[in-house]
Amino acid sequence: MSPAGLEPAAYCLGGSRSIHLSYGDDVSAETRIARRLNLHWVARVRNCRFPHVSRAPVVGRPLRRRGDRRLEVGAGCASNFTPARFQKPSLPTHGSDLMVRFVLNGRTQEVDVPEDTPLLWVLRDSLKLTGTKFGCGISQCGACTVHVDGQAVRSCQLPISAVQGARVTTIEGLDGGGEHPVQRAWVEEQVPQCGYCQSGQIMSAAALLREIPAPTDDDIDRFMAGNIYRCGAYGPIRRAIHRAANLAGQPATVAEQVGEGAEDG
Amino acid sequence: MADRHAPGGSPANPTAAAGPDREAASDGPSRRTFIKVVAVAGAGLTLGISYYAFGRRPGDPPTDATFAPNAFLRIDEDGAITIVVGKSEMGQGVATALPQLVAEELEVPLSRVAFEFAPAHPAYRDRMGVQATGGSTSVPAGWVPLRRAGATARLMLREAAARRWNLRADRIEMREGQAVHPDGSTLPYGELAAEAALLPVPEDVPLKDATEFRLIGTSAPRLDVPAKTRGEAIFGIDAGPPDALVAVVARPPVFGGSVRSFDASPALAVPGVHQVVRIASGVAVVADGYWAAIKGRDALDVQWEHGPGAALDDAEISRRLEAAVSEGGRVARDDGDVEAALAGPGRRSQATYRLPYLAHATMEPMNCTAVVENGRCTVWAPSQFQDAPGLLGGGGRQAAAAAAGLDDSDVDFRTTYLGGGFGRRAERDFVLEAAELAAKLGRAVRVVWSREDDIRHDFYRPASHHRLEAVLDEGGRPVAWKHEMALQSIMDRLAPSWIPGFALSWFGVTPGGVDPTSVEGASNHAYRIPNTRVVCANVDLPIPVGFWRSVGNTHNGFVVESFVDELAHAAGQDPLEYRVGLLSERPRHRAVLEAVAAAADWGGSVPEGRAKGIAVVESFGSFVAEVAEVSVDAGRPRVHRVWCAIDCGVVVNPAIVRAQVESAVVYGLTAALYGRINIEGGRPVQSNFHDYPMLRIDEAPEVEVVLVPSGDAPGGVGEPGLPPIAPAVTNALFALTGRRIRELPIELG
Repeated sequence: MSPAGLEPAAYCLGGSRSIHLSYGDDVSAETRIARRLNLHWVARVRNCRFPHVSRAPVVGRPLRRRGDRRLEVGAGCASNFTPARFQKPSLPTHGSDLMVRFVLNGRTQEVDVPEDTPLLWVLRDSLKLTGTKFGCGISQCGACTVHVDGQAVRSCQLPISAVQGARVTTIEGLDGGGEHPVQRAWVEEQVPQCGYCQSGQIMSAAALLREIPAPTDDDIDRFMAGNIYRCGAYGPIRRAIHRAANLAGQPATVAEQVGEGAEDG
Repeated sequence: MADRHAPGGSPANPTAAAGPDREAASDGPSRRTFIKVVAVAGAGLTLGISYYAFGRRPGDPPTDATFAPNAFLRIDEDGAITIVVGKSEMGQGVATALPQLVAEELEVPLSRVAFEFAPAHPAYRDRMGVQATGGSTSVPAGWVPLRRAGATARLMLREAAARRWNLRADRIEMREGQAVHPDGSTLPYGELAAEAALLPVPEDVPLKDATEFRLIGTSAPRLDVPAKTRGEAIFGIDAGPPDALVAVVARPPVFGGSVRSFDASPALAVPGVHQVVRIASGVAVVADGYWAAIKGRDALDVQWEHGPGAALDDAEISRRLEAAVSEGGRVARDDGDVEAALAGPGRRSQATYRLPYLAHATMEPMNCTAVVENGRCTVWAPSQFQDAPGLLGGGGRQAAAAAAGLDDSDVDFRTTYLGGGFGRRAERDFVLEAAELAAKLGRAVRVVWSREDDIRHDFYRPASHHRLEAVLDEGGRPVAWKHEMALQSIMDRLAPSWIPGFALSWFGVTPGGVDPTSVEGASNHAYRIPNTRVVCANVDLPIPVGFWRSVGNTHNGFVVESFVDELAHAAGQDPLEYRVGLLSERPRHRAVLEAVAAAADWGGSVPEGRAKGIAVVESFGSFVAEVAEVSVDAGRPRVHRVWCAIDCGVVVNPAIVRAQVESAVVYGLTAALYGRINIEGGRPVQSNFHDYPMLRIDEAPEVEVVLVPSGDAPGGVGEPGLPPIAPAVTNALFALTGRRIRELPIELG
């Protein structure tokens, strides 16, 4: 069900040849995002060589060039596609400015920036929210993870046009007082070391717990494998996620969780 | 301005501002601004830090606090207690452990303390005149001086209370930030600060006995953790003025290459790009933000002069290293007569080992922010190396001054949180770029490196070749051990041969001699072998090399512990017992081996399809033994569990020590399984995490750390957990498969 005339050819850095691109099928979150992204696709990689494909959808924007049809994909998954900018472009890659209106941490936000600007750089450079970090730019490290309509997404490759009308949550907005069960568990287990990847870890963990309130170690491995922890104390992360799951089970904290997810639409 | 947070809160931005941001002192001392003028205590060697005379010069550490008896501590009348941390926080926990040392003797709960990072300033230099963080030295070097700083302050506050209460000082108890009168009434330190500030600073202050410790030895919660869970911690890439422009730099892709010419116009056509500027390291594209800058750089048309480096590839490097091992080098150790022993009776063993270049890959890519205004340069850098006038080419402050054309005293060098260091941020290249560009632009600029820049323009852990030979006697014990290695020398770049010998010897470098960072772990291996020779050949290659977490121990730890394991198997003995037998004079090595063997149930049953391997390495003043349990899954090694036993002397914060050991294990395991930087056409092949992979949670072993405290002073903790992991894994793989791995990264196929 591809937009007519466009041959999907995304380059998987893992060398996977079996790339299945579809528009708005499968998981509901992908459909929600796809609907917003008039020009946008949703893709899923099958037979991914990287064992750590996360649950987030891959979102892309088709690029048409002379005689060359390529899909520039903003990956929400840890395995990902070669962004078009890795190939020296024959045409300028900058998109035209676009007015994008979205809800950011509960408040309406409007930006007017080139439409291909990744959400990460809109957050950091345009809006001065530096809690979301830059680690790799190709969705491999997870440091840039935010929530878009409740789904964990790598913002370094999500074009700003993709969040038109969406609800975006960053680490700053996860909980007004920094007391989300994941954040509390992170403090209790003393997870952060250098701390640079931790915003992304926490956002991924929060999304995991929304989807699977009582995850097993296997669930944690699958879901969190998209977040590199270079300081390496993965043991405390596992313990903290289990602890957060228990904390979230406390009645007082249920409202916090419900508050974040309840408004998707 | 430094952000000060309520005590117990965790500073998001503890980057100190010095001098000009504060109000100038009035002429002459007043009670509020009285500065303790502290004489230089001889050469400061006994204390390890220098107390310098403080004047009211720009760039001084903040001194308008009520009570500041030394550079590490301030107490204001409102009771705010600030500890100044003179080391860089890169995850290793100094922002907590160092305040623990001060707070212990000061008698104040850590929850009541705020902290700040020190500016570049002479007061924070170590005995060699360097302000830097590395070599796992922060806690060992601070152990006495920081406690003394706290104890000195405590005694002065107590004396102030004694005078206020008209009591003998020794009747007053100092506890939890308060002076306590025998009748139970109290005076908080804040109330005593102003009076204490007028008292003379005592010398030769006694320190607590270890039995009196209440804070040292406890897993005090890290002061920086809350901010780091809220995205509030300010790293280099986040720091600086909000109107700073962002620059990315196009650097010569080939080692030793340069810019021949460039056409800026396609870059300038990208919306958001302001300027294209030629700087020493390449061509900078300056824009409103990172995205515009990177697109501008992608569009930039640069003609490179690649130079002769373009011919360099892995095959050539290998040839050069192999030839250098054969040609011989400088002798790092020579006990007995190894040639005679090798020619003598006994069973000979030999092996060749090869290790690759490794990138650091800190999670936060290199970056630096600078502004030059009114003849002053302010720098925000996630730096490990702030200051070293006249040595090692200077630290960050010297680099910024040189690049901006100013004097050191015109530079305000501020250290932020570091998103990982591992030795990479001890370099000055990112500081040079930002300062040069800031001076040229006349406004604030942040130079940000992409991940590709970061991996391709690193100072790599040098690749090395090793040849080992041993002879075993009838009992299987080695009577001869010859270790010849070849690699690039890090100190050749940092302390070139024209530097006078006395300066070099401070770093353990003999003029024209052996680079200690190349041979550590090999020349000082602990095994009792009567005839031992270690030889190191320096190879001259154009690849930038630098300090990579545990440095020489990364290759020598692997090589020594692999070869000893080979000898054990050749002798038909258990690898643990074999090692213990050769360590009869090394109780600390034996203790950690025995502790890890007990934890890992060495010799006990192992699940089907798995095997264990063991290794022990002493580095940076600590002793670490590790056992790894591995299996092979679809042709790939899988590490299930790792047990570590660490003797780091006195343990200041057990939770931090455990976290650092686990951290080092994962960092080292990542390198052992995946780490390699290939060179083709004079440039690195790898560029990002898709081809320079990292260990992730689904491959991370379960790590258990046993603390084996000993002695009465702390050893290092940041690095020592790393060297044993690779050999523990390859030794386990040998036990499992009979195949000996002599090259990293591990390839079983």
